[in-house]
Amino acid sequence: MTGFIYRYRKFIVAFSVLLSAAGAVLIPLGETDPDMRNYVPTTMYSRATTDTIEENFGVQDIVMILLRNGTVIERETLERISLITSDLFEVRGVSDVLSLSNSVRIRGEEGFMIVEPAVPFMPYNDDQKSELMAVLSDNPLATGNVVSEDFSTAAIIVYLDENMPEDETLSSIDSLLSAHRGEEEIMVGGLPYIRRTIMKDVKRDGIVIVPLALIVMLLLLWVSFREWRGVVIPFTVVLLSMALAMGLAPLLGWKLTILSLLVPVMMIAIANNYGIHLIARYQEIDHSSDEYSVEQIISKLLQSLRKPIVYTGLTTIAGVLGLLTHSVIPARHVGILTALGVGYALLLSLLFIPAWMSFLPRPAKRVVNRNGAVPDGSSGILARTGRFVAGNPLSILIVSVVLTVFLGSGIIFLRVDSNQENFFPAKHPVKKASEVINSNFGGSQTVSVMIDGDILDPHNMKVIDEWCRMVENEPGVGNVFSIARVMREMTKALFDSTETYYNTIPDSREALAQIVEIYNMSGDPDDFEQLADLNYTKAHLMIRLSDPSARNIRNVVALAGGLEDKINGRVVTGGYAYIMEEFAGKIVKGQINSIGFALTVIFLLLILIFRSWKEGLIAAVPLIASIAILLGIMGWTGIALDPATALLSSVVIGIGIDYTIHLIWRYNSEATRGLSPADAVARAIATTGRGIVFNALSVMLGFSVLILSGFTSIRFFGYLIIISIGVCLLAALMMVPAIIVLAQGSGRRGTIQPLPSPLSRGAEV
Amino acid sequence: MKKRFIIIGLWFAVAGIATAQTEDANRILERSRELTIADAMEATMTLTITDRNGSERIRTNTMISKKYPDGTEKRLIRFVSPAEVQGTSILLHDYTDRQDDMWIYLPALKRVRRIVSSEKGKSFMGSEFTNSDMSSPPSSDFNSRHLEESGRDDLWVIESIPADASLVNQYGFAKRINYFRKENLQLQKMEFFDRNGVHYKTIEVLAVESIDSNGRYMVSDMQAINHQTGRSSRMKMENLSTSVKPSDSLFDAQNLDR
Repeated sequence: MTGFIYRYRKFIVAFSVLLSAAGAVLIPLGETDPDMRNYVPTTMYSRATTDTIEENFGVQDIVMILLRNGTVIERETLERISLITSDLFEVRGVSDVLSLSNSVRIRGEEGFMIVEPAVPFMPYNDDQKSELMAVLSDNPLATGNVVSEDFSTAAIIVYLDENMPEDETLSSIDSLLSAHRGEEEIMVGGLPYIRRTIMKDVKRDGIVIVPLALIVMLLLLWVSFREWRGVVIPFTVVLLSMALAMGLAPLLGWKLTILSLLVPVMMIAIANNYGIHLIARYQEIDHSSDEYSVEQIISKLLQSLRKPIVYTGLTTIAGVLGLLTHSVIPARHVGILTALGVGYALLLSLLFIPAWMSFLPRPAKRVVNRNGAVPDGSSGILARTGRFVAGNPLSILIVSVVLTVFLGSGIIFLRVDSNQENFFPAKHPVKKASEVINSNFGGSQTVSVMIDGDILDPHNMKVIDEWCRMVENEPGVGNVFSIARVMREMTKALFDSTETYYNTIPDSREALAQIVEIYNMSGDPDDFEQLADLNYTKAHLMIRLSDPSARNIRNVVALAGGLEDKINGRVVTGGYAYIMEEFAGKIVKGQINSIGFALTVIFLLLILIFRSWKEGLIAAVPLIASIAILLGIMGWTGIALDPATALLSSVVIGIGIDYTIHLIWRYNSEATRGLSPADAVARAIATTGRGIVFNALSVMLGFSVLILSGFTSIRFFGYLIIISIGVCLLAALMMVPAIIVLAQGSGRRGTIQPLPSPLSRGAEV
Repeated sequence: MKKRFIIIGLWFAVAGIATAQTEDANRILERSRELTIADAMEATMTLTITDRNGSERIRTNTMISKKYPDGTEKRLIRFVSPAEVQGTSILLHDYTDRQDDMWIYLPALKRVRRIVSSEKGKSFMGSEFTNSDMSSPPSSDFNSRHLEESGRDDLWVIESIPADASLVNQYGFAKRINYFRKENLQLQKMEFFDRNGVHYKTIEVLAVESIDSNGRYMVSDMQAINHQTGRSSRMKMENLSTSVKPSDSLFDAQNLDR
């Protein structure tokens, strides 16, 4: 292999650089997709039904502007709302605006149906304020819709024209609001706003986090190796493989999501692993003799590390490819991009790094560690650790098992969360606005039920009415809008409260048809478009959720299922909230699938690598322990499985196995030299342990920058992966050696037969 | 500003303060408007609303209206089909100097209800036509002028812009372009633009019916297309008559349920 590299070294270097440059050129072409709906396959039941409902009733994306004060029933505030409302109508891309200034009050009184403004006068003193509050409290079209029941918050509901660029419209709304600032706190919520904030924050994260991760990596490499080649070579591999991985996304037509941010960070954390081991080993061989030529060192380096590097690379690829079993589309993309990036980093490590090194002379001076000694594994903390593990395998194993079982037991508290609002930390303006909408305005997320049948059939209308009134009292349900509610409001306006028809659903089809006709003629065509189709063959029930928890959503969906037995027609249930609920289920299933897939593939790879099922099993132990601890800690701390944290286990499996492979590989070669299991274990920890620790530290530090992300779940991803990699590291350096010593018997020679490989010779330095 | 009802679906800026620049345009608008004015009229109207998915809602009703010397318009609309809404009626008294009076009659509930509303419905009977499409505003509300292409292809092309921002709010558009046939000053098409200059609606005249030998005519078929929502509405008149002389009692709310 060394001969091949020497023959083609110029070509290898040039080709690698050019290929990555091509990837880098493509990166700016990437587009962002902030819509969570596109995270799920179109074939998923709730997404398909939601698409059907939206084909009939349009997309209900609203922006909600909230004004908060002690009370909004103040002349200044009401005037500001009026100004904002009229200016909003002039914003391009705004199709309709509803607020206190243009809402109406419809009532019946002494033979009249009176339609008047919801705010019929401006309050100039406290008496007038109280009077206005009383008028508003009595108006279901205003209270809970454009003003909160306690009058602390007013809402301006903005409907967007779906044919106009959303981003431009939202920017115009922003500048309009800054021009109308007053005493009130202004907040903005609604899915279009959440989407735009995600897009902005993804870009911000990309700009801040990726460069920071690179700087952290540079510092770590310098601290680890104290020589320029130890810094520049692994770092170059990171840059080259990251450029290719990120460039592939636009080439494959994939848009960036909040999960895409993980790809460059993972590349930074993973791609230098092989380079780190190569540099550590290069230094080890370099120190062992002054006689070796550069070509001899490279030859020895590749002989000893080629296989473990290929194997650790393959297991990492297998781990991240576990993400392919996810239903979450961006998770699959992350899996493929990372797998391709890691594969490329692997090739670069085996070809590009040696080719580059071949052009470089041997280092002029030896690198020494903090104690002034060359890093040959004979002293220092690793050597002491090795001796400690070899001497106390049983205690170590018992402590490990107890800790794993204790921490892992938190798994029973693990919960799943697919609510997009929870991507943001508690103090984030989007999160605060969502909370106000959920508690005061019936909620911002919706379950939609479409009834396909004769809507003007009095039986159907009554079933719809009863169902809506029943659902309104279910936990977590805010406002429910339906044609039946309009019908009731109309009979309240058409009849006086003493009359029979007041606040009822009339019994005859003709009466229903005529009331609807009157409503239809008096309003804006858009008003009704969301509730029924032109010929009343379909109705749309909108159930807004004040608490969009999975349990509440499932409850509403189940109740909608029951509607089908009563109604003469077909019932289709969909809506954003339902998609997110089904999505949560897919996350759990994807999690189980990907863990199962990755563990199985890696276990098979381990058996192939070590040609022994026993060693395969031993090597899998740290993975199982770290996954148990990871999920357990999530359970104990209340961190939920969400689209980002669901990726963790696959990533941990893919990366965490490397340390064990390196350790067992070195153990085998030491054992082959005739050392006892205890001595071989101690020696393996003291020598290859250095590369393992550097490797793990680089991964942990690389991922640590995620803690600075604007998204809560990405931050949690950062914390959790540091813990998990830490667990994998400890397991590889303590638990695995302890098991080996116990399995082989501490006094006897190693019985695990290593592969007949050049590694044995390479290890004799 | 008070709106007044004139004959179906046409409204024009009346020639206002004549200036050298707008004189021609205003004169054309005024002459064309005169050709369509009638004191009373009766017709059977079929209104077809088509949504973006191609679904249609068809309503047929009879309509009769009368104009009084003080400028008041009284209008009675009665549904003929579909069967379930047959007999549903709306009576409107559109005054020049005060709020409109409106009554509805629902035969299924045998109910006459007077509606007091400070709100002017934006849409005419839930269609793409607006009430302002049906009214004739004061001339001073608009500035009108010929566009560059006016005079070519046998067409006058005249742009009308509401004179101030409050009028834009009132009429719901910021600019309108009317197309008239040069030879007989019949209206061909109207294009509506919003505050951002976006062309959001077009009304096309599909057929007219001649009233007399002096060139007077009525629009008997027209279509409004909303380019933003993809919805369209078509209003077709049959049995059109301007010689009808309806009695005042026809427009009396007491008689609405007969």
